[in-house]
Amino acid sequence: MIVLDRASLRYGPILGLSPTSFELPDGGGITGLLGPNGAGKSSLLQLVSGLLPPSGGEVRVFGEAPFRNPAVLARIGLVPEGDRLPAGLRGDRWLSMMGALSGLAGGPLQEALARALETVGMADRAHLPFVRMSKGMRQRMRLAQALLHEPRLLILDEPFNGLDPEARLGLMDLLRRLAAGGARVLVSSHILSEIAQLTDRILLLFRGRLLAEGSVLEIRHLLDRHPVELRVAGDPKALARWAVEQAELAALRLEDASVVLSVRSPRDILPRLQQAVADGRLPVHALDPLDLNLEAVFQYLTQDHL
Amino acid sequence: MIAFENLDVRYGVASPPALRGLTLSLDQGIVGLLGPNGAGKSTLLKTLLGLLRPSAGGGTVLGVPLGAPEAAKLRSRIGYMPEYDALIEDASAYEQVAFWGELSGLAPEAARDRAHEVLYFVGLDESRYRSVSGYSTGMRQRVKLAQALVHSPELVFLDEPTNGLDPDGRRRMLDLVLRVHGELGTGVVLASHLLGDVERVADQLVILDKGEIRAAGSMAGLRRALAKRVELRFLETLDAAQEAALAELGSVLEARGGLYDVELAEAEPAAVFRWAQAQGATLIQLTPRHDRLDEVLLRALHGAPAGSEA
Amino acid sequence: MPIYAPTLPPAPDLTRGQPPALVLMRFDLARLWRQKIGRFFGFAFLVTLLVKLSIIYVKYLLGSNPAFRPMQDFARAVLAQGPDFQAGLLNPATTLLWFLVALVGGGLVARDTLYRVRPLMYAHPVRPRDYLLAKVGFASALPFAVLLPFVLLPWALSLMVAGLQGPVWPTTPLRLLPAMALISLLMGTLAAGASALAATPRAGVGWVLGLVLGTSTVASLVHGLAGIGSAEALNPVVLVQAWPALFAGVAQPLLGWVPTILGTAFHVVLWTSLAARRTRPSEAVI
Repeated sequence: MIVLDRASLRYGPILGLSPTSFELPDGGGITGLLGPNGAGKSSLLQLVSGLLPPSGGEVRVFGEAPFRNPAVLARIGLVPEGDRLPAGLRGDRWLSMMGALSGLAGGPLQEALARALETVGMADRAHLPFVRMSKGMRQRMRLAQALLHEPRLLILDEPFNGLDPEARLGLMDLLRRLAAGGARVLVSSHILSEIAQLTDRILLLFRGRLLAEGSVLEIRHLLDRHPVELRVAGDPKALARWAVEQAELAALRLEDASVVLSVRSPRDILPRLQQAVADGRLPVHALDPLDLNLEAVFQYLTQDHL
Repeated sequence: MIAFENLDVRYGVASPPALRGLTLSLDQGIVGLLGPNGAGKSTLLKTLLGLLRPSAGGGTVLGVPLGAPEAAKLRSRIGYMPEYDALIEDASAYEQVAFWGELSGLAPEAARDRAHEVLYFVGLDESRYRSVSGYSTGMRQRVKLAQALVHSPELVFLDEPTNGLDPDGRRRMLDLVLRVHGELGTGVVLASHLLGDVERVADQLVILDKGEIRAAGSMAGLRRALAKRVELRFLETLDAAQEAALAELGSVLEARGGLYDVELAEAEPAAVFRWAQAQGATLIQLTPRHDRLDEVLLRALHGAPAGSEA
Repeated sequence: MPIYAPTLPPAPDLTRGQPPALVLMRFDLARLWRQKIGRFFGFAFLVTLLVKLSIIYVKYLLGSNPAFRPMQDFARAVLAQGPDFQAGLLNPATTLLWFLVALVGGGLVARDTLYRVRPLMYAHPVRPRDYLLAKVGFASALPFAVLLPFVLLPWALSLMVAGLQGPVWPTTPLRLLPAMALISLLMGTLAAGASALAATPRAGVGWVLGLVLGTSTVASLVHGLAGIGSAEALNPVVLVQAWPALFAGVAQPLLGWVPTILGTAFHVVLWTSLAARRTRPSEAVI
């Protein structure tokens, strides 16, 4: 669906994105676009949403270059960053203006408006002027605008910024439902816990370069320089006795009612652990991988590239 | 640290109470304060600082009764890190931290020494003599934190301290918050919109909405362990047959991104390992399921009114 | 041999601090020092002061040296030594002072508004009246400090070269210091009030100059059209000139005692209450 082939973006002398290649296959699902401030997230989204042409290389969305290409743009919905809307304007009027800009008119426009407002749950509040809407409501209106033409690809740049927790959770739910309906959703954020809550498929950008793409678990397995930490709850002494005999053990730490094993290759040791527990040789109540999460993956990846 | 008994706060005699019937008791620790915009967070803060008097009920902050004449002195025992950029742009970090220290009652000499110490504590080294107008967001947040700590308060109120920070800066700021309590023994009230931040550092939680407390208490107490519920994750993605076979373990309540939330039919964890062994799958995670913070929040805001639990 | 933890030392003593208003004023003074706008004004005030001093010295020469005797009649007409001369000691300096007060005072409150630090101040043991005292105090102390040498140096020089018979009366400081205090208070409150209206320091400068020019234009209009002379009591520039004249006992002052007192009181009360209203904690978004 999205293909970047050594695509780069420079703004004069300023680097937006170093030459980057990756491919996001067709189909629904949410992909989180992650990176520190200035990593190139907005640049990547600008390339993919056809706002700017690449300085070098090639960008293809739905098989074509998106820049100034109505055929592609008509299938993309974009929710740009920020919260700037004409304060005094009524939400539904603004929305129908936006629909008219996409070439909708008359009956189809009314239908599209009703459907989009229904999807974002704003049907009964869209008549309010923006100034009387909360930040969460305005974000929903901005999302409705991107949904008017039923895009297959939905791009959101930092959509959770400034929202309160409830509005955040509501928006996440909405994005999950859209993704379940077959749209591909690309969400950028610099807050790891948000993306972790939303999806496990990520694109990780750092210093203008793509560092990783895929599911958190897959990426973590590729980072084999860093042993995986497993907290195993059970009788610590019995667990420690078992663990020291395993070749993959790199380090072991005893806690009150558990041990933390640092293991080099979890693919090899975990089946044996499972076998031992299943046979009743090891008492284990819980198994918790401490650094198989997005936070750890992000930290290892960015530290390795410092 | 903070105890309220049926506290009402109004902005004017005629206006409706901005805080209603707050009954609350918080221990020395890190308190996460959650709530939508306009829930009453800033009114609560103004009350803590003695800028507003309770119109009914009362309480104590750091042992001082609210509304008492000595409540104004509380302000030198409390530190405040505002959400917005309250920096003096034309002064260096060192100058302004010393200035805030003097305003809290430090003698000029003591304030200067203390400013240096606090800036080291938050990790601002050489840049402290430069005007803050050239600082990055992360550095600005640190100056704001240093300013709140300079007079060694017994309680600090941190309003969205991780705003605008990237993952690395966020992690460091949260580590600092943990050190503020762990090393300095300062009580912390942390207001944040990010559940992840609160989850990471807080040991107590207050959920505020429309001026009322929806839930309050220790994090462990609010995030109940759910009986027989476990979260399972496997080394390889399960295929359709394996997913269907999960029903043998109990009822699968939710499956999201390879993580299965299962209510087990029998409480014995070894049974899950045996099941995985039989199915040819490898377990990598088997953890008892607690309430997630988002569930606690949504239940508090919409569900049955949760009682206050200290 | 103990090991010291690399953390903050125990709590410092919080009872030895200076009053908040003094801390605020010292911070504003440090900023004024840093901004270096003192250079231009320092030069301008120094030149005016030197001119004043040399006039006194020339007067002394004219009076004491026989060689200048033929010029004495002429000099007596040009360089009067009456009350007008005493009041005039402050004269060009006060005009220049308006600009200094506008440039420095205009930013005093507005800068805190722009940087949004006032709410944070009120979260410290700073009461609104401390804040107001600091800002009005600083904006008034500045003109007073600048005017001080304009009275004391000529007075000292005159005493030194000519004793009690010098061109500056021995009692002049007693007459001019109260006038200076009132002038400074007028300038300080006006600057603080105008600055409280502004959102940025630059706009604050504009507000001060605008309010001074605006009120003087209105006063002149009323004076000119309706022929009410005492309407000039609304004009801060005239008030500033009237006070030294009244205290020095000028025969035909611009304004009488009553309009001058009323006009000054009006301005001081108006701008102080305005500044107080605009810097209340309830205006602060915490």
